[in-house]
Amino acid sequence: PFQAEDAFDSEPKIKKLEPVLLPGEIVVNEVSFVRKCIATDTSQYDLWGKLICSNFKISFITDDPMPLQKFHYRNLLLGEHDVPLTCIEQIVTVNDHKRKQKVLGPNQKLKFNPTELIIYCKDFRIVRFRFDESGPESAKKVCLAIAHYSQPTDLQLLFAFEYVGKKYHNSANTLNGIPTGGGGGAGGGSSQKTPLFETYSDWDREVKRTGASGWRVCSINEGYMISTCLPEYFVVPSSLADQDLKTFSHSFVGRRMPLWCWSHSNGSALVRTALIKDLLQQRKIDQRICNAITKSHPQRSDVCKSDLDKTLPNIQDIQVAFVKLKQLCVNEPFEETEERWLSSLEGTRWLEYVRAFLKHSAELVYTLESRRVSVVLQEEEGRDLSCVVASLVQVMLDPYFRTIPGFQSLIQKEWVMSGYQFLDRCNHLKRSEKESPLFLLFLDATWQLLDQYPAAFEFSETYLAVLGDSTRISLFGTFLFNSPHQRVKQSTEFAISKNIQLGDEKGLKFPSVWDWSLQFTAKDRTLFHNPLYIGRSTPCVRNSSVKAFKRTKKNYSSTLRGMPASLRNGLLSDQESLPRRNSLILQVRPDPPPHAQGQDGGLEQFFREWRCKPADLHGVLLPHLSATHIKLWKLCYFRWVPEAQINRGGFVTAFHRLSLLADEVDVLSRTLRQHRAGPLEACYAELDQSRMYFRARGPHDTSGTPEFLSSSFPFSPVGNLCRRSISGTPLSKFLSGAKIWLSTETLANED
Amino acid sequence: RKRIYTTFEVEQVKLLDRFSTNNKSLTGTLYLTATHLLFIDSQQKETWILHHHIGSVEKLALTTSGCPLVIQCKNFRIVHFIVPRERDCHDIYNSLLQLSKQAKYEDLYAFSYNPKQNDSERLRGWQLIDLAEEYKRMGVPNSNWQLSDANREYKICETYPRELYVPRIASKPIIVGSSKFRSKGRFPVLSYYHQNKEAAICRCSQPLSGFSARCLEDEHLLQAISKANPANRYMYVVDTRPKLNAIANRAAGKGYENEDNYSNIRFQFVGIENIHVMRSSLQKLLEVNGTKGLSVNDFYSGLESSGWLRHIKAVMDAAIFLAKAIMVENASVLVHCSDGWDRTSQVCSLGSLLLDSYYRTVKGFMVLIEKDWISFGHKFSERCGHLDGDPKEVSPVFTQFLECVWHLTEQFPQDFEFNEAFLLQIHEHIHSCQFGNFLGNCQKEREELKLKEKTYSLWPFLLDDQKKYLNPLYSSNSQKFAVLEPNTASFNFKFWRNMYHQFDRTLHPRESVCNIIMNMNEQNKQLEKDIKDLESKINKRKNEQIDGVLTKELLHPVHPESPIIKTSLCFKEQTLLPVNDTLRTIEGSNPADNRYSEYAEEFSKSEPAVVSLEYGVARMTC
Repeated sequence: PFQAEDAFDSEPKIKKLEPVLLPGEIVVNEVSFVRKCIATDTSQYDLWGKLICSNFKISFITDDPMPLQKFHYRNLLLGEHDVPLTCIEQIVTVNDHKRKQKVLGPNQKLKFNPTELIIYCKDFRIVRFRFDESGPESAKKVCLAIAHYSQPTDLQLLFAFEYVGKKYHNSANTLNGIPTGGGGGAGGGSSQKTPLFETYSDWDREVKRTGASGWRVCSINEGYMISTCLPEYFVVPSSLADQDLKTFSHSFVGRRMPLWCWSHSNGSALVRTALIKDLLQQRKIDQRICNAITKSHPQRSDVCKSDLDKTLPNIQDIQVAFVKLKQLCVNEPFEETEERWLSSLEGTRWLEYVRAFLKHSAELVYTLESRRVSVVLQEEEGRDLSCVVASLVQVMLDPYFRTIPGFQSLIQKEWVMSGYQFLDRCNHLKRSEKESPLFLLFLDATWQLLDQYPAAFEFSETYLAVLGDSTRISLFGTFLFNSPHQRVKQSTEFAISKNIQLGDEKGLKFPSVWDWSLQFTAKDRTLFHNPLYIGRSTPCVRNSSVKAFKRTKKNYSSTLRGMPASLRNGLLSDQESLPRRNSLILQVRPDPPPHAQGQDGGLEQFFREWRCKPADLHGVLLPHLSATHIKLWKLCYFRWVPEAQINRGGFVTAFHRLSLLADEVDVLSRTLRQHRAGPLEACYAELDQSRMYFRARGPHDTSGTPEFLSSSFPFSPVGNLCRRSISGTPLSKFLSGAKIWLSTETLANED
Repeated sequence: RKRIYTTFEVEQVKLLDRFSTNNKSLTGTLYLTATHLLFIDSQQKETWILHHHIGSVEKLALTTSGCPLVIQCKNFRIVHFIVPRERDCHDIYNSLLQLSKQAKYEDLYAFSYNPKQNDSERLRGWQLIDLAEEYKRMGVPNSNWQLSDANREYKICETYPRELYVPRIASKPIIVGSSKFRSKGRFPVLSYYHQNKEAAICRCSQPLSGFSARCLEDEHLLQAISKANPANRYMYVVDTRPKLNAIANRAAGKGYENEDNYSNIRFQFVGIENIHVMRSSLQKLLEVNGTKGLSVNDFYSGLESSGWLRHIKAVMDAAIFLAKAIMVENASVLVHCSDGWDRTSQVCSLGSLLLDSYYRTVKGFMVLIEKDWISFGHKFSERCGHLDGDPKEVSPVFTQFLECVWHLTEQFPQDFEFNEAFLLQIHEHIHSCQFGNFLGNCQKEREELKLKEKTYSLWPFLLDDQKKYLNPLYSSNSQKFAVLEPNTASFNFKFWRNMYHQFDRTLHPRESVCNIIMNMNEQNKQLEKDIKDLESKINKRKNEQIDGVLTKELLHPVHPESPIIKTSLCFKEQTLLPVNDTLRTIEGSNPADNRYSEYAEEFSKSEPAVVSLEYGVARMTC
């Protein structure tokens, strides 16, 4: 074919079309002269190149520059056109001429030569390739290879094993394996390591950090002797002896006995547990546990149990809702859903579920914060809904978990170590019946809080989206396993089969997702930072001279016209000082607070009073739960949809402006601190210290929105298949006779 | 405090919180003044409601605790009182009915409102927005467009302004002829001229074409418009109505342009519904946002079935059509609907706003409203129901325009000089009847009412308070013709909570990004000042050193904290107070609309002001 000759003429070009491979990555199949489609209705933007399938990704290698794309957020592990195998949801092969179509499963035969390959990705992307000019047999082989390698039958076939094995072999002569661990935080300014909670000391530090006095770290599960789905170390009431715990553990589903999550400064604790399966023992054990938790409370207060299975949607419902959401955002043509958009969105029930988790968590916040009662989360196995609720409660109550290292440690603590089944729920092995997007639901709920309290979080929504994406890259040990034990067991087996000396290590050490430098450059990692976030004052502020600046009652009232209602409540003396026209009114007192209304009334009262106070961004955060506040996370679900993009618009333009401002504040404060003489402008030139992606070029930088910004920034939908052509404008839509809405009222009403 | 003259007062009245599930209420005294309804609760919190803002008053069935009275305001406030005695309730009800519906313009608040200004100040206020100046800014008159004196005495069209711009080659007989062929005499005139593209947005009313009538003068005038554009021979004629409505109008001798009779036109319907559909859609929206706002599910389907956002989208799409025609095809556009004062005003003004960044500034937005709405005869008094008139003439057409602009500010947070509070304040005053700008239905009527002598203009008051309405994210250096390209996929349209729930404070977020940024800005300025001060001190000392004068001071290095903390203290006073000042009130001494202070109290409580200060101090003292 013509194109083929053309390509052969320029030989140096062909040489360049080599895949970039990671250690342990091998190309299993490839096909040349493939067209990657950019738009559905025109081939003018199509790219020519080579499609390869490796044991890690499918990769499209091309020399053609991407048309129309103004910005590309580069992942160091993946090329611009790459899709990790674990991100593939469905593989569809098509033959135009024979009008045949087939969804490819593993080990399936393909009776026709495909002319087209469509990949549906778990992150809502759709990628399409055409094989018109490529060898029919090699095209078929690549399709089959992709189907085979993206749907492995065994965990050890996931790429991370090959990668780590290679790393160990390469470093066989050195003392240790590859460095892993918490990684360097998010890069930029933060150098704190993320606690992984694999060790005794991490748990111990967390107990001390929260000031939990009646609790201790217990190591009965060392070597996973008690339970294979619990971490080796966890925290229990001090009054329960190891021997008791061992005895009790048999009665719990999966031997998942109560685990401490977090303690409030008032002493109430958050605990999660599986159900007691042994009905005979149930009451007795339950009583013992509750007593122990009560004993660990400084006020010996009661225990409040929350049965998550009864109050929240189950994981199947959540999966169904997510599939519907995906349908809505990706599959259906937009023209058809446009007019029914809101009811279709409502029909997915996704927002309803997000709200349900936020609502329930907020109620538990009330119990811990206001009623000062310890909370026990109960769930059949205690490793699904509990993860979401336990994390959300902590995000709302503890500002530490709103920082990047804190949030990461929370995920380690409540998800990775507590045995959330990432392997099954993310469906890395494509055994779809166990799939459920609980982790994404948690990120979504966190986003709702971030959206409502934009200055309370250290991280940005880009960070949350990227974190969600990282669950679909089969390289990080963080999101690969059903439990810490599974990692140890599987990787030890693998090490033995590959002749890797483990030494003292418990299993292979996989790269951690928290080592963000594996995926992004330092500059790109600054996009994780929220410019609106103002950190807790650094310790040096805590000296007496600065304390004077803290909000006092006096300052407070000076900012208001009168005293806030909360301070004024019931103070008759205040009222006397005000002009009164009628003495009768003096007898009127505010309505008595509805104490006698039981828990629900108390809850509403709590919410109401909390809302009357100024929001303390370093204190408790409660979500707004009305319909206008629970929103669809557009950056996450719409970033790959070209039609959804707002060019030079969207929240990111505000983000850009804010970054410039925050950077300016940083530069100025730094200059002031260092008492540096010299032109102010020079201080802006220092690039190294900024925590912002967008940097101010000088004082009062008012540069306009950069051309490359769009509402899906830093992601770019270009290169992903869209339903309509990119050139489809409203004008051409009108002119091509788009349907005109018919009047819904009688025509006689026409003005 | 100014003494309040009350005409009526009732004690022990309960004010219910409509979003509370356990019927929480405040008890207090209700007063009626000549202009306001006032409720003072037991904690001395005042709620002021202007009589003109009252849309409807409803007396519900008697309950054990008293007689419920529900007042629905045009600014979307809903208050639910319980009056202990039915007789009192009845009296309040009757008084309010009377006070809220005036028969004569002269009885409206604007004619008694006195902000303590003298005549020359007032006149200067009215001269603030000068449309002749605005046309000059656009670049007309020029070789293709001229000022026509045809309507100088309102002889051709009563609802148009005196000064109209038409193509230079359109002679007076052509204009007169065309006006006779257009509904209410509203012939095609210039609304916006795009200097770079030399293309124009023109506006008119529907032609009286019936099934076959034609008018050569009208055809000439349209041709003159397309000839006035040297870059493109053809022009678009946009009928903003749904096609069916336009066809139905033909039977009444009206209708739309026949493409065969006009040379070089491309005719297009854009399907915006009429005022009656819009009115009932808003009614449905308000029903939804009552109690249904509390649960996710009913809300979305209710919002959808109200159709409100669909209508907003239709207006936006039409405006985008205009902008694209001019930017992409260099083509002029003529816009009309039926009479050319509702949908046409929406589409022309929004189209110009997309094209010209001037209209996205505070002053420019005022000019835009003055040009496309006030001067071209949008019937504000009828649409807002200022007087006791035909309820079928009331329609939220202007509210829709403001909402479209709000959606644009949401999509392009950096491109507008003004913020949401500005839009809300304008909306407040189209109904308040406190200023003369929006009274009457056309310029002729306004002149007859002598509004410029008897009332005040809103704009200078807004400009004086400009600080409250500035968008801190605004990037002013964008070019004049930076076109906005909004995305109108339906998921980009959302419920405007701060408009329709503006009085339901429990539903609002605790912190406003806007305030945080304003504080950040202030902080920056202060820090820069500190640096300059310190630098000058350092330089001073250096000089002293060079002079060889070893002063005692120099031996002790300056304690870095003291000056900074001092300035920071002042800084604190400065930054916190403006937040409190961010009241959306412009009444000065007038206590009207106390809700602004509620609003501001809400915002002024936001913590970040203090936190960011600590942060600043922390950095400085480390």
